[in-house]
Amino acid sequence: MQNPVTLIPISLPPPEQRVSRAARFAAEGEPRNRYHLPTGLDSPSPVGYRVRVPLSQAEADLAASLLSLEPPAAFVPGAAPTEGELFDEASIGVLTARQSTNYRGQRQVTLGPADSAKLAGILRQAGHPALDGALYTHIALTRPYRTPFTFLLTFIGHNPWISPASVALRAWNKKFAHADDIPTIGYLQHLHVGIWADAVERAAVIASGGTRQANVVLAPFAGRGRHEAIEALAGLDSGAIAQGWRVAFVAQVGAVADRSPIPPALCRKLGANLLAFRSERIQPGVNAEEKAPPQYQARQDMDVPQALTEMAGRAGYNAFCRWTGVDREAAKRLLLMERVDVLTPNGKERLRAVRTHLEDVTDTLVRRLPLWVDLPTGRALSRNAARGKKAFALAGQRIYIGGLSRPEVEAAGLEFAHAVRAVGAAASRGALVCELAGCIDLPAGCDLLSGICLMAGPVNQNDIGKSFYGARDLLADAFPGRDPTSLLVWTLKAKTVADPIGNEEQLMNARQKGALVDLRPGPADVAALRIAGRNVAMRQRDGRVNAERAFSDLGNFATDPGGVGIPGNAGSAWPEAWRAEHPWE
Amino acid sequence: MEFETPPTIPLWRTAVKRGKGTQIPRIEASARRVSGDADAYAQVCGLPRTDVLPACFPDLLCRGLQLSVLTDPAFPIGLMGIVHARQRIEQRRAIRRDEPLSGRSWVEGHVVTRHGGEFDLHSEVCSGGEPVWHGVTTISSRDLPGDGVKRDRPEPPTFVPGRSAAWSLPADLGRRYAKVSGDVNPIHQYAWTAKLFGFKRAIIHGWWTLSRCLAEMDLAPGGLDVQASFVAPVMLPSTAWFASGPIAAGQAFEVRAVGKLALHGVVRRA
Repeated sequence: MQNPVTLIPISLPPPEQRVSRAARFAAEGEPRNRYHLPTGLDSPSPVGYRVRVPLSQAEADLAASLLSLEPPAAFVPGAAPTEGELFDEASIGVLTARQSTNYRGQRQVTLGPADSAKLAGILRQAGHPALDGALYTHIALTRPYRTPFTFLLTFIGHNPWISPASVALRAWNKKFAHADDIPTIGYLQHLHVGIWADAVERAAVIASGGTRQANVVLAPFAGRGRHEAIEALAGLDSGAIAQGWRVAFVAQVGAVADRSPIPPALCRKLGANLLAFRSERIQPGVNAEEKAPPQYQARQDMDVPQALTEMAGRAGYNAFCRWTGVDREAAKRLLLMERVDVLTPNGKERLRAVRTHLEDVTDTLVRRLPLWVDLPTGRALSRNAARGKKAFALAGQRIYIGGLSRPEVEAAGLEFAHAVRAVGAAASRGALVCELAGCIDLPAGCDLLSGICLMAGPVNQNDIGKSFYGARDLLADAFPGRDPTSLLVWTLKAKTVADPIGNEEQLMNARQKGALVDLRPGPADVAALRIAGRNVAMRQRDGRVNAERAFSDLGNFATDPGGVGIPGNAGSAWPEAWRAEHPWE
Repeated sequence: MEFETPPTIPLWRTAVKRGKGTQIPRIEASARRVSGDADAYAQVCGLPRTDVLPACFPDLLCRGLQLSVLTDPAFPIGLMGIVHARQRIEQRRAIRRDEPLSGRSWVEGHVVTRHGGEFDLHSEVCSGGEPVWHGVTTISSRDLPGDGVKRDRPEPPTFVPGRSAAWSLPADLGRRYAKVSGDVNPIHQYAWTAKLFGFKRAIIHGWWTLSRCLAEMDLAPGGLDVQASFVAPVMLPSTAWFASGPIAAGQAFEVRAVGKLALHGVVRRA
């Protein structure tokens, strides 16, 4: 069902344009800003401040098999996983399988072989595709998307005369009925689940050095229904259920007869790279701040090749087919994509119109925020809302708006939430094509050759306009009469300089946390192993919490131009005696 | 002094010990059996519980013997205000938890420094009569007469960190380590008890810091030679920054707190 994907290399710009971030530590007395290296890293996250690891074309060709993975047909007997392998897998799965806001609405409970066998029985009894012989099984849990941004949304779209009552009612509905302020906020939860499910398939292969695969069962869990037997296996208590936690998918992991063509050393390299990939928002010379260093100010003569965008699209359709089960033609029909970049006819005008529309929505939103809450907080809400404008910057050589038409999805026999999950998976898989291609033959002095920013912000803003101010969907003009719902915006960029390290610091350092983002979690925050009927937090033991950066053997940590590292960034390995343990033996 | 097991020396005896001597005679104490709770020690230091003893743990087994030596009437120095300056550990091989161990501790002589003197407190742990662990704790004291001559301190080794981690040290860490080690020196307990002795806040035990460094380096069991210098105290609560990396002679490590070097050392396989 899935077509092979090829990773297309990016042509280098002229030598004088090959610039990198080259961030340095602030000198003594010099005010620090987002372009300086952080002074240290104190975080249990396995990520850290990482840089990309170059891949040869031959390595990229092997890695491309990850972009059309088929689920395993059967498991064979295999070695029990070590704690270290489970950590590596979680690091590129639940701990990072999301974009910049790093939403904490996802948790994972991993069952050992005995519980996995019980779960397989439950799935099979319900008529779902389950395999025997899983070494372990992840139960993915999710709850409605709630962040500081959704808190802000509580105050939006109210009639000024009754806003004290309607705000209270909305807050109540959000807290107890898990209602969303606008539909696309509800869809975010499912987009994230799709991204996560797609990542789990790759993570199982990479963390095992190509010997294991995941059989991810997603479809039965797209609705709001409960799955009590599975919830019980995951140790989900009534408090968590009341908070809205539900089973999002199940991933059985086992040994496979045909090992992946990717050799173990390349698996390590890919794992280290996955931890280095970031949202790339800045196109040098296009949307950099005035205060940004010179390397962000000069345009680079680079382009995202058409063939690469085709491969990104192919990988995206692969994912959509894989997760919905529809055929390729149906996938192409259902997945609505509008290209709006500067190379398309009237592209510039269209981009300008989108930007103007989104800014108008922001202005209206700020104007109509209830003063009774905005004024006492020193206009914190309106300032935050206005700050969001920066997040809507659509810059890149290739820009797409993607979405679905609910009537068409339902006519195809799919649950809409399920299709939204598949869009998330498609988006992340397409993004990975661009990110991996940006590592091929990456020369010294360049951070990357291409990157991507996957954004929900613009569609959320458009949705605010749709829900409260009578605006039309972003895709309405491109797909007239099809009742589209835009879901994500892709901006693909060819460039050699990575975004400021301050963007990453917002995700790693509580003191630098941005207003609308969350910190990257440590394994103990979101991952647990089910051992002897108890959920045991991953990497929290005897007074220690994780300080290991996953795949750190590749040493791809950000340093200053002289090679001096950021204190705490390289992390410290979990004791080998613990790492080598087999949790269920 | 010979004991069956190391004696328990009450805190008041260390508190009232006074002296202003000029020479340290040889004083030795030994015990036929030494043992301790390695699990509790491993937990407070963030070490995995394995079937071998942590490299710093044998010092704790000799604690009672060390205090017997230091509180002996012949020992000419007061114990308040002495500072743990350096530490050397020579572990010949991994010591299994179930090995019956004996211990010995002694002092003899000192070297003159600018403001006082430094003496070595030796501790040795034997298995079946065979020495398996030897610790040399260098302690500086102002009760000894100094010569006013400034001496250069050994430079910490330079290295490229392969590991680096932040430690969030909670306020009660000193009390937790004291429970396990028996070292209830007030400077490690509470901010107010530490203030009585001139510290702004409580400070963590040097032994805890060293043990945690070795835990971070996750050394394979076996023979070790560790040398560490304590440069500045690590206050509680605080964030301390650990780093280690390879050098020609083994692995160098350091701990920084509030931007300043607090501890540096080198560990070699013996």
